[in-house]
Amino acid sequence: MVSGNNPALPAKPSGLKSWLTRLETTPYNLIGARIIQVVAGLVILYRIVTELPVAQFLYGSSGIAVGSLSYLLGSRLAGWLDPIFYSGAGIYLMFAIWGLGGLGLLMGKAPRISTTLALIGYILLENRTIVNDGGDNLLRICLLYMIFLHPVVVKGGTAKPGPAVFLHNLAVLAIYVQVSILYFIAGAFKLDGEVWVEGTALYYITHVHAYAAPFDWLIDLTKNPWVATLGTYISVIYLIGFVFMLFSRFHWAWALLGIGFHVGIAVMMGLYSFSAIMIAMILFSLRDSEWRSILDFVGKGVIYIDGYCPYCRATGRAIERFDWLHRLEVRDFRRDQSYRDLGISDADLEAQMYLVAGGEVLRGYDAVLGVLARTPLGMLAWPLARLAKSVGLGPWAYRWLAEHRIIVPDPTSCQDGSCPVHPEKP
Amino acid sequence: MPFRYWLYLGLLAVFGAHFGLTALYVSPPNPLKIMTSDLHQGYIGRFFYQDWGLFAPDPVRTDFAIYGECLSGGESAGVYNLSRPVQDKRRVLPMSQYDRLNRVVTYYPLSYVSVARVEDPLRLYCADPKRETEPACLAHRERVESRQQAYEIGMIKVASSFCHDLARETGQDYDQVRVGFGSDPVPGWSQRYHPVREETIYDLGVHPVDREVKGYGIWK
Repeated sequence: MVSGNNPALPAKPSGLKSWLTRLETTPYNLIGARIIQVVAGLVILYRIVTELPVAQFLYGSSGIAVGSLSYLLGSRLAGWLDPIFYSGAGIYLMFAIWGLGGLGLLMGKAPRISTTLALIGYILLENRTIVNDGGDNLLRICLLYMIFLHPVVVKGGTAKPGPAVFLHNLAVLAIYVQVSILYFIAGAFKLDGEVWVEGTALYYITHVHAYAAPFDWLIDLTKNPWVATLGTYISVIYLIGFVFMLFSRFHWAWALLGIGFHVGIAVMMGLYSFSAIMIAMILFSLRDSEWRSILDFVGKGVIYIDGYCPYCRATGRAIERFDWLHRLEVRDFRRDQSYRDLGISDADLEAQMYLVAGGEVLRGYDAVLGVLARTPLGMLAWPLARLAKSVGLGPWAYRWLAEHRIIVPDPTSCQDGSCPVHPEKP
Repeated sequence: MPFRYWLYLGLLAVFGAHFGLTALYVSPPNPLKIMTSDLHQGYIGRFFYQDWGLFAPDPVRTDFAIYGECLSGGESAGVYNLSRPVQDKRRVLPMSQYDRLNRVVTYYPLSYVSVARVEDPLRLYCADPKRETEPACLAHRERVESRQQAYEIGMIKVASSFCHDLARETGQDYDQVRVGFGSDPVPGWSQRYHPVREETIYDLGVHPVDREVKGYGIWK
């Protein structure tokens, strides 16, 4: 064999070149990217719904706002734009732009345009008032990077290697770096704070009336030395450790700690939109391979729905839409009778939905929980849904919906004026 | 190497510069930050403003409240705490408009007494009376006063909106409003079971009711 430079063999790409090739070939964090799009959309819609009744007070010229676009755009351009967006009608125009962006992100429609509209809305609002928090600040910055996310995030399929994939990956890296800067700085500054070092910060924050928890017993909880000290120190350790754990094999554990930390902030301090944005960023930081490992642990499943019920068919379509990792197969039991081999009867399926996963048969509300556990976004809702089961609300709501569902037999299966309830498998 | 790879390298250089400036902007004061302050203030501070203190170095440890006293021909309608009812409603209805309204009635007085983190070293430096007349301290004071003026206007607008709400209830027209705010520190850790609270009131004076601001029934 001839060794060394052989003109017949393609030259091995240099380290730099191979790195650039990798960056333009495979788009990273497709699942995480879709999660932040959906959560950004939800947060924007939540803010619109809650702020619309007082929008004129918060942002309008007949309200309490004192901000302007002048610092960002200069006084001349701001002189034109301020009266347009901060006038009585302009506020609704601003909310419409913002809402269209949020809705587009949630539904996965025209993602780049939707992200741009959402960004414009955030910029207009942020420059006007002082009601924004760190989550809004972070999302406003990240929305700019999110414009460069590849459309394959929404559409699925394979992305053609090239500049679009390179820009996607650069956007992913930008969000990683931005979130890491946020956490590291927030943690490092706390080391300089007296009450963070002495372990009582949690007590003080939760006793400020503006951030008070809804229940007095929750506020009193932080008077306990164990809760105050551990809560304070764990917060600082989590913040500083985030960047160092990003590429560790225990990253998932840190992500879990982070989710708990932000759920705690939501419950104890009522900062819901902030917590939702931060949790989305944590979930974004999980790579696609990590998502696969998590969902492999749960296993694949087959879900049987009633194809004669329009609501059930819509549910089936929604499941397929959010099943980004193909962990579920939706089957219509009116057309597919494979369930009979599993000992499930027709009457069972007419009464409730079934999920068959890993030899386990889940029915009704348990099947709903099983579906949630197998989709990345559903996993977010799973704890709440599980809580709803514990208090009996979930199963009750499911039963009510199942009993009141409308059944419209498929006309193609009807012959001679009658429709079989259980058409035979073709 | 194909041309697009050179473009990629250019983009990576922009990426590195962007986050280098971001890191300088958010870092604590250091010689490099001070040396490049025009650059990162003008770029990050203007277009990518960010502050990741997030309750650091010391979290908010004080309850703030805006006070308003609506006056009709010099006659007082009583002094009202405008923050507390909104903060109480946020606790009952956390996912509602009171989420952000709570921030209005809290952040205006809080911002009035706070200094931006980037200016904190200057605040400490200028605290020495001997340095009061130095140009840097004069400029710092001017910036602080200009910000305080903006937040004072914000509090006058809040109080004016309240007076319009009150006018609707009482049928009285209020032409002036006395505005102030209270600062009430959370009792120290050692006093947590036997708290003694002491509020300090700051009087911002009597102002004409802002007629451009409307009443929105927030304090109904």
